[in-house]
Amino acid sequence: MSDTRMARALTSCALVALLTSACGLQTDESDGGAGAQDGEEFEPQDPEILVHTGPGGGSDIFVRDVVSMMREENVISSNWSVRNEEAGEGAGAMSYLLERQGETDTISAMTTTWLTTPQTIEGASVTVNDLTAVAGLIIEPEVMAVSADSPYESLTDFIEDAESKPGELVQTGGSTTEVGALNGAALQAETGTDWQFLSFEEVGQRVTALLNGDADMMFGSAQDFASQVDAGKLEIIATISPDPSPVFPDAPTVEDEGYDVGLVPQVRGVMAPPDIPEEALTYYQDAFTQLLETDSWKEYSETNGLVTQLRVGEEWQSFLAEQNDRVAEALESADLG
Amino acid sequence: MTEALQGLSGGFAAALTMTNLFWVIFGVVAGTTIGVLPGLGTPATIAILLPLSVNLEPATALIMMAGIYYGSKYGGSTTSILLNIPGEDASVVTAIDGYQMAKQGRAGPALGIAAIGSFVAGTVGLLGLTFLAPAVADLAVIFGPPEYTALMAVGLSMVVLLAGRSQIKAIIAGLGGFLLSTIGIDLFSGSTRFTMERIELANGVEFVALCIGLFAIAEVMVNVEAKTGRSLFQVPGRVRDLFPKRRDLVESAGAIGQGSIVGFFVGALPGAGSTVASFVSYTLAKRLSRHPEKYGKGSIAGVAAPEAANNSATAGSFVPLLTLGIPGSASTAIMLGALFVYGLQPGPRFFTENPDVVWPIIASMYIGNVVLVLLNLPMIPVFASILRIPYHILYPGIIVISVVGVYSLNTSLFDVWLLVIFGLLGYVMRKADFPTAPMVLAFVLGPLFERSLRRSLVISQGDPDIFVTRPWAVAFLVLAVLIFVVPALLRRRERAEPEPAPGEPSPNTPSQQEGEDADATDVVLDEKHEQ
Amino acid sequence: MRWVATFREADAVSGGILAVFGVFVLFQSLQLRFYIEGVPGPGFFPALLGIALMVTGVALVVTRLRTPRGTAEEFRLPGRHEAMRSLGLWVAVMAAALLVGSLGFLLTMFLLVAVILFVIERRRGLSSVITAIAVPLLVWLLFAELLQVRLPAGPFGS
Repeated sequence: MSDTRMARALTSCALVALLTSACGLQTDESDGGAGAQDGEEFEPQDPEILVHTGPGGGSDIFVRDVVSMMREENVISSNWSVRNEEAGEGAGAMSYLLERQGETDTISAMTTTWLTTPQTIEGASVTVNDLTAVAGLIIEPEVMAVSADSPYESLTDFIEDAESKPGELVQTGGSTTEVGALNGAALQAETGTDWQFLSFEEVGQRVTALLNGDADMMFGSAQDFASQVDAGKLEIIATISPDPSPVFPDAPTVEDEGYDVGLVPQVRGVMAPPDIPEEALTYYQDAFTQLLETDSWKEYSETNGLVTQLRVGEEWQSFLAEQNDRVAEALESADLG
Repeated sequence: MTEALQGLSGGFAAALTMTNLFWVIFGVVAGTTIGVLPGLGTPATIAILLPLSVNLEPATALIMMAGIYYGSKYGGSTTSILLNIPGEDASVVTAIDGYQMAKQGRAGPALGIAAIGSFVAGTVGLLGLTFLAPAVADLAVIFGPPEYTALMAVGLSMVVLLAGRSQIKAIIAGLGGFLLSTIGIDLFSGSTRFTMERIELANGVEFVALCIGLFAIAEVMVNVEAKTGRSLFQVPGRVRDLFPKRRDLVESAGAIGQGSIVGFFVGALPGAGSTVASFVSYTLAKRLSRHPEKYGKGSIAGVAAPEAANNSATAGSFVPLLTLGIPGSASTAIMLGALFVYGLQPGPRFFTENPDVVWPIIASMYIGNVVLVLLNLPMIPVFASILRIPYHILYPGIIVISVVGVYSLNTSLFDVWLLVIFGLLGYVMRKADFPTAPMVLAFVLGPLFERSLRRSLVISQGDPDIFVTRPWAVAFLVLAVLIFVVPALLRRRERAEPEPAPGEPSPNTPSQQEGEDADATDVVLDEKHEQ
Repeated sequence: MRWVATFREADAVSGGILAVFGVFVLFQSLQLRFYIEGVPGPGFFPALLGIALMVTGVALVVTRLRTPRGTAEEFRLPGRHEAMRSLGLWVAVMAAALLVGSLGFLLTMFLLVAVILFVIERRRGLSSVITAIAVPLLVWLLFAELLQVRLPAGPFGS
């Protein structure tokens, strides 16, 4: 028994040694001889993509879906492992990237949370400016849902009701620093109204609160509501984003309703360690650019209510800086900054 | 009813194909394996297998994932019982009496009753899922923050039931656990509490690190003080003694029944889950037992109740997933994500629009339960024989496995440091005779209580009336009182003794010592309610 | 010479310590907001828990000191030999937890098990050497190879 185990151990050790030396040779080659090629030579050895939520969280499922689509469409040849770095709402993942300065095998998915966290959480010192911006992939337009029995037919109805009942209406969502909460705060500041915010960890609990009348409305992704809207239990009355949602294209935007509010978008993109070598950066940027052109992606983004907005490199970096200011403003108006 | 039966028979026809049978067996074997090993969360395992599932039919993929989910609950009890290593959130409670049984040379019966209890409760939960799903789903929707607050008040007041010799010390331990649970980012305000600027603490203390530290590491520290030359526990040589006897089954029957029902309902509530179910069921079993003094000292019913509850809860957690499209746990959230990949939309019309997906999944869980019990019972002698290893060889293994298990949860060294620190805390608590179970209970229920109370007050704009105007909340508060009063009254009539048994708060004529302790509880709870 | 007392005194001491800790918790939580817009804030529960710890700590002291002397069970601090074993083990585990990041899993766990067997258990036979090698290796095979958990690598790759 122990002999076979020993044998297995030895075999695997030998295998590991063989693999590392083989990979070592490979990098030597690309570093030395053929470095001048157009960068597509680069292949990460053991790529991992970070996610700042636990298994089953929004980002986690998105990234796992993205990786399996990339495999399916042969955009990548080896499997990327997904690593959940949950600490501190993105702060852990950002520090993890910072520690891997100049390395080529680790990238991370990011969301708007990466902009709010450094501004709100004690001890979260790394910001997106310290990292390399790879690409922005999508905007997830949030929509406003109310119970089917609710008297509100539009955002304006809700705002008017909120004016007559200060502090009484309830918006539900996640933490007070997530996108929905920030946009709610921005709307309150703009319209001089005041309503409550009811936090739940999980989307399911938020939808439940909406269904049983504990909350009056919720800002969330199309996916959060689709099945309940289908069943006639919830209604979508507005789009809390400049871009219409592909799932609910008829819901008027905040601007359509006549409010001029600097909304914080729910974005998803990719970041890399600082000083990542140029060829690796290009490799990842090409991979995601290719993905966004595939049919699988088109189908996926449509059913899930995602708006593809590819921003690569510099453009993505400056977009983030712009959003960062907007988040700071929203936090200010929510009294959280 | 007939609809459900028709659906189910169709489901069985689909689930019994070779492919689906293979994947249900694959799922439950993988689930048991990761359940047996400490650490390695169930959601993480399901997530890793997500890419594999893309090549399968939707029903087949869900059959496999569900198998991992409930299979891991079966396996979770093993290390809790044998080594006092609660490797999974939901098997923490099992360690309390399970490990004591192992110490008394009854590891086999403990493992056996865990498997049997899991099987019975899993099946009862499935019957509930098959026939009661729509009604229970309505109940889950009604259940808002005030109702949760009342339910958690019931749970937290059960801290006194986990007391050893002193109720006041149990309360102190509970307060400590509650306090530990407040560490991290406050969901409602975004401010960080007691994190000492460590981002590792921003998401709070890792529960499994706390439990393994308090239970396993502290236990090893206490044990090494004595001689460690021989094996620490007796393991009976005869195989017959490794399985539960008729007497054990009779003793556990009530607990299994109660755990099955409690587990199913608590599991169906989004946000509560199987850990809460196991605690509620354990304390309820103790409260209703004729021999509450045996709990914590190796009561077989104390193993049966939480194991039954956590398995029944997994079936319960499929209710909101399949009927409302609302996942109640991380594992079910991933399953929902998988369904999205197939373009399916679980929701209120899922049962009627996609019976070809729903019913095979449910049917496969009946099959998986049978497979699991057939798989687990023969393994008992193998697992029990681990305890024959001399302790000086076994305990370094316990430590290494604990470290790796905790590390593997979040690949975090910080969690390992926490584990070791909590080991010392557990050791000191053991020496000073403070019970650790209330600490763990309060750590689980405390945040649920805090958040639901604060949520309730957000909804009512700070008006505490919300707790007495909502019927279900009132019902639970009344239930809480009944749970405390009725068994005590019954027992007193049975014994026809004027003095209540030690360790029971007596509502009418408190003796001096206990009166003070009971008052202290009231003070604590009242403070929380009134402010 | 060993300090011998009963749980009457021991509990009074721990009650006192806990009451002081409660005061500390209360002061710490005063830095958090107690109420926000009429609804309990982040400091609400911590403050109440601090107060509750103070109250129960004092209650423990009072109730124990009111019980008559000599009725409580004997409280015994671990003796020197015992403390050396339990606390020695704890120090070894803590050291391993601190080193495992830089030395890697296999080497650190080998050292930990070796220290336990050779220093704490004083078993200097071949079987101890085998155990020290086999235990970490088996766990590593199980977690790192079979289950693909990424364990700390250390300077030698594993």
